[in-house]
Amino acid sequence: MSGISPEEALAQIGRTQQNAYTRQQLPLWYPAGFAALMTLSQIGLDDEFGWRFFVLGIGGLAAMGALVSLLLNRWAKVRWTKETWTPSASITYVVWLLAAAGLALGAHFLVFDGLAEPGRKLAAGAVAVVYLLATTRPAEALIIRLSKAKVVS
Amino acid sequence: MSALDPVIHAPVRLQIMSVLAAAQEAEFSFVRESVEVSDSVLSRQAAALENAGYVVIRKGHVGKRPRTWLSLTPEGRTAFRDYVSELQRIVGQPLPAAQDGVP
Repeated sequence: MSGISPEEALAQIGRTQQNAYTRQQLPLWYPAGFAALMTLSQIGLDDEFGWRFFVLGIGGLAAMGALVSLLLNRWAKVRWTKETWTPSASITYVVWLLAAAGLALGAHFLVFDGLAEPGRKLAAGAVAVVYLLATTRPAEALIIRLSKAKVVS
Repeated sequence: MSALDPVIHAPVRLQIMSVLAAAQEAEFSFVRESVEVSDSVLSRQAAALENAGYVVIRKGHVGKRPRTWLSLTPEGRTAFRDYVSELQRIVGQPLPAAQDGVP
């Protein structure tokens, strides 16, 4: 038949799935770009029905929708089953994203409270952008490591 | 050994099934890179799995670019699960899937 032993077949399943997990990465700019768009749209939505409301507010929301659509419909080469996520990997992912929001809010209210708007929101958004640029690859690596021992059958 | 599904129990087909078992759907190029085989080998083995009723091959377009997507059928998912259970029975050890996995 094939010449692979049952032991080798079991090991092969794990190796193949782990190899596949490591091949799917977000574009590095994607989370940071999303945070930047969110910041711009918040600044725009503060300007009640002025030009910023439509250009930055509505435009930013539309751009975020477009980014999500591109990721789901064009860039994603695989749609994993939910079984590939371990609880620890899922928690790490959520905490990583919440940390970006927490940093931005913390910076907004605690660090940049002396700045006038929209500089205050821009500065807080910049903190989230820098955080996401710096942590996207390490967070992905950690999430993959936390998922690696899991084999889906 | 005789209970192992011969359609799955072949190196390249086993790898294809392993990737697809973890996915709802995967693009042809993603499976090819994960399994590390040529286009022609993947096409041939995926066709064999499709003929067995284990895999669906869906062709479509993203913009103007043609794309091919592979996924397991419900029968394929069941067959793979049974195959893994049989391997575990023979070897006498569970897969790490039973644990939440820190490596």
